[in-house]
Amino acid sequence: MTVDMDALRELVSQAYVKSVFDAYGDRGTRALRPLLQGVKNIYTVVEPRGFSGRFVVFTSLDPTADIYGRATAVECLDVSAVAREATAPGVVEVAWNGRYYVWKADCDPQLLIGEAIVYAYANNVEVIYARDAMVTIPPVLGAMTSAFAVPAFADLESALEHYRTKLARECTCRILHESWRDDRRLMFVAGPEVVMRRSLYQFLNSVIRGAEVRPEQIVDETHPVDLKVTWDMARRVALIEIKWLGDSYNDGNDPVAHRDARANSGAKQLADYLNANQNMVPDHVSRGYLVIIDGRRRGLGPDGELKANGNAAHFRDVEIVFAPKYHEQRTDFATPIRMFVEAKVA
Amino acid sequence: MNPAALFDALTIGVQLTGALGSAGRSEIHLFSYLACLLALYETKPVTEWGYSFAGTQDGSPFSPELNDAIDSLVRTGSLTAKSEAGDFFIVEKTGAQEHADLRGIESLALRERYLEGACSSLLSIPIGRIRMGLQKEPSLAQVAPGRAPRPLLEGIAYDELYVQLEALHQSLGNVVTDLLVPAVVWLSYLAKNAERPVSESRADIGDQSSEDHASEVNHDG
Repeated sequence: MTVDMDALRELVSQAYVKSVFDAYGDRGTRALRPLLQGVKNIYTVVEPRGFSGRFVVFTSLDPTADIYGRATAVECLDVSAVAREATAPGVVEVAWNGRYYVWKADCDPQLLIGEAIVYAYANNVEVIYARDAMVTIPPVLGAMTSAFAVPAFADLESALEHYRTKLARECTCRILHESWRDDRRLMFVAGPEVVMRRSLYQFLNSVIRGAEVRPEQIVDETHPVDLKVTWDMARRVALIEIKWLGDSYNDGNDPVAHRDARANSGAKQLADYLNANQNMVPDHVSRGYLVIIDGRRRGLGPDGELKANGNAAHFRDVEIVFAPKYHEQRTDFATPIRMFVEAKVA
Repeated sequence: MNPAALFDALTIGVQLTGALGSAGRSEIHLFSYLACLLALYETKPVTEWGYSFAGTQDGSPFSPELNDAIDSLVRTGSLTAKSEAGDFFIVEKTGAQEHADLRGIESLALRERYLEGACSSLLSIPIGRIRMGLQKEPSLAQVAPGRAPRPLLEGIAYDELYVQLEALHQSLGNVVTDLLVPAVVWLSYLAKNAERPVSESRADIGDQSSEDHASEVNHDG
């Protein structure tokens, strides 16, 4: 029942909320609220990974003050207008009344720290300035993006769609990145399913509202399903089975290629899990989701290199043929979600 | 109807609707429990919170009084269901007005800083991590999955909680008047513990439950 004081002190030293309070007191943490909400709002319409320069956002400590010359800014009444105006380098003021002021020019945050709480994003690093302190914000997800760009989803389908389009497609999840042999994303490492499960678990566990996500939950005598989502105060669970298609090596260093048959065996496995789960918790409504991380490349040699006539994007729009189609035969089986991961080749 | 529970449900409803677009029923329970813990952090007796909590079989905090308040607000149209399953709500104009009226009662208005401090942690920490962290709070961590609900904030777990809150006081040093600060630091600490291998986290905070939870996670890759 001891408390790890070292860990606690370390967290305190990294906590920008504490630095802001130490620097400015209550009025600092008051101003931090509209600033953080503003940054979160901006990142719902602007993708910070696309920035090529420093992006500065600030909120003045004095709710009535104009500290950066609003007369020269573009005034935006809502965040959708910010999407059209914001650039990097650039500056956005989040005013206390919910309005945004946008300047298309670089700004030294040091000029503002006497009168404002300042946030800056540059080269995938985020900092909050608290007068003399500059606190780097650690990433909160495997995603290579802002800690304030983490969404929240009330339904699992939307969360999986976000993961498919925003994290898997360009492999912008640091964890998922580890499933590839190299940056070109042509071939998986041996046994990439462990990494994939960890990546999706991390994501869902952070973004799903009102539910708990657990990895490797036993649903029959012998096999654990990859992820199980259990909703609070509702007799509702989701079973998620993850399969990968593409090329890899096994432990003996022999090449392994998974294609449609692998997806079909995953579907059969998930159908069996759903049956077993129905027996185990008959009073719960269960739904199964088959997630397929698709890294198929056409014309990949056994050495892991694309042949001259190879095409890394060939399977981008090539759907998997399922037989049987459990998702059409059963109401508890969702349409399989194929997540094609783009290669990074010229 | 418990007036404190009614006020808290409305306040959290307003806060979460602003931050997330809606408020989940279980989230209202979660953030009211966190607010209660922040009151404890300020050494307010738990008996003065106005209503009690139990830990449910899914490891979440639950208050019957708060649940009744939510149902009442739905019946009167102050909250309306947003999701098909009826477990997410938005605060209607009548609810916002009712909230404004209740704020005029001093005893209720005093609760707002705890509720606001709890909900503001969402600005800094994703909702899933708040939930995950809070499940490692000593009292909730004692709830065994699948077992019958049991009262929270009493017995040995309460003593453990007191030790943690005292440690939090010590580590924050000076007098921190904005409850956003202890809320964020403590939730970060708890969430970090939830990510550690079970053998380690047990040694530190005496966790006897959720043995399989997050045991394979090594965060942030």
